[in-house]
Amino acid sequence: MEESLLIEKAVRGDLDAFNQLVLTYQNMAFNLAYRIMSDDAAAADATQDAVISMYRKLDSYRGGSFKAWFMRIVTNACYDELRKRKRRPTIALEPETDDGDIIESPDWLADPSPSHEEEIMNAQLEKAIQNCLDKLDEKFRTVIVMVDISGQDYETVADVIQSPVGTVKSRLSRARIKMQECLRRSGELLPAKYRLNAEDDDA
Amino acid sequence: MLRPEQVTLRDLELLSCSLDNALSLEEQVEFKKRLAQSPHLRQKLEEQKQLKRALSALPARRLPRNFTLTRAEAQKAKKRGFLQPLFGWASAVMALAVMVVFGREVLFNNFAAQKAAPQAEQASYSLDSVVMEEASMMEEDELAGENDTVYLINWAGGGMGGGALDGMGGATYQQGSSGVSLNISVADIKNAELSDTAAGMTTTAEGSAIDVQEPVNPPNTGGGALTIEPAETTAQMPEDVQPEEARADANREAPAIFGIDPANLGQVIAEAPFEELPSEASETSIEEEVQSQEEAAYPENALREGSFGWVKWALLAAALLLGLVWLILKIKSRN
Repeated sequence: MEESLLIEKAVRGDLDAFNQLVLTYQNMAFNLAYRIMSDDAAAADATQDAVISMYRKLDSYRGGSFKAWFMRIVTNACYDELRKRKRRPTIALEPETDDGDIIESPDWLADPSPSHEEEIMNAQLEKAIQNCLDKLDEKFRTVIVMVDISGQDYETVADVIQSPVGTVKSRLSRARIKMQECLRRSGELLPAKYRLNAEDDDA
Repeated sequence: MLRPEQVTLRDLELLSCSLDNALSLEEQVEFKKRLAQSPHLRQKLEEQKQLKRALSALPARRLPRNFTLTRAEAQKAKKRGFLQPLFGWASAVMALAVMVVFGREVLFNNFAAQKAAPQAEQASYSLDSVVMEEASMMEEDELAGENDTVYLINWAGGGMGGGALDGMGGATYQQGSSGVSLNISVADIKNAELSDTAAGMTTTAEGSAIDVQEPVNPPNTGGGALTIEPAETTAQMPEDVQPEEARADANREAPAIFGIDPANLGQVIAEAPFEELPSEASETSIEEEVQSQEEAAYPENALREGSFGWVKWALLAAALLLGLVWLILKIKSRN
């Protein structure tokens, strides 16, 4: 069934049509939420909140890209959740040394059956990237996640963040530079193959 | 050859856009030119290509569950979404009503105060002038030993000009088609033969000329000049009457005019003996009396004032209560 028809039915109150739309975009929504929040449970909560919020706001949908509209609701839900977390900081469930220092990458968290060394390295790279994403401001993080990870075009991102395309270009450029600098600093933890600026470091 | 510090933000933005094939033709030409000039920029380009590849290669997270809504969840979502706006709008409407009610009250009070102030000033002026006039008359009595003379001046809109009643000040009534009809009667209050001593003045129909008429063969003064001549007193005071007694006599008999009712032109509406001229306390009592008379005449006004006061506080309480509920619902929905 065409998306426009589903949207029309959903706006009229058809729950099945609405759920069909959710199924279409939930994977993208959850991944976007995860990259913004860096936590599976929080991303799931934010996605669920976004779906409920979208159901409530269906009457206010005024056409345009439904995907962008939904992603905007998801990013707003993520920002709300992040603000709540800032107000109520949680205690990390990570082991500490006797001095109170957190032990990074503890052995008990490691996958007991790693199939290949490459997978482990990929996981480390992903972790490094996610750490650098977490250090970015929300506005830069959203743009780089949507363009480089979700593969959205500039117009869609501009629609999501409700800013001109020029703003998207500018934020994306700065986000990439910041990411590059961050990964360069953490690159020493990765094998040479996975360093983003291996040539530069070798020189 | 560009040095690294010569790479601008514009170059980096073009570089970023080139990764996404988002450059226009002109921008492509510009970027290629800059790229050829700067090995540093070329190195940046390679690094960012690598970053983009790494980011796009990140594995998608597996969904922990489906995020579709059940019927119960949908109903709950709609219900929750219905109550909050309802209370929000209700509180907004109540707040608006409260603003209107209180604003009206403030405006009305200010307007009424502005309107009442000149009236009070006018009243006190009238009373003062009466006292001054009386004092002046008393002096004249003492000096000249003459009887006091009271001037009655009535005025009204065009066509409604009227004067004192016949035989009570020599009133002259003239029907005017336009303009203002002005009647001035000069009368000796104590004189029993008032009609013989009265003088009247009437404007013409157009209100352009003012004539002064004497009761017996009144000569027209002409030229629109206003001249008022007090009538001669016909009742002479006996010589053995002392000035004090004369003043007491005058106080007892001379009226004081407090107002003019257009519907009863030419008639004395209220009068009071001079010994009861109002002091400040008596002015207050007059106001209170007027108020009580108004309340007696229009009991529904007093009733409306009472119920209106109760309603406005009820509105304020309702607005606050609804706003509080809306705030609680909003906080709950955010958490």
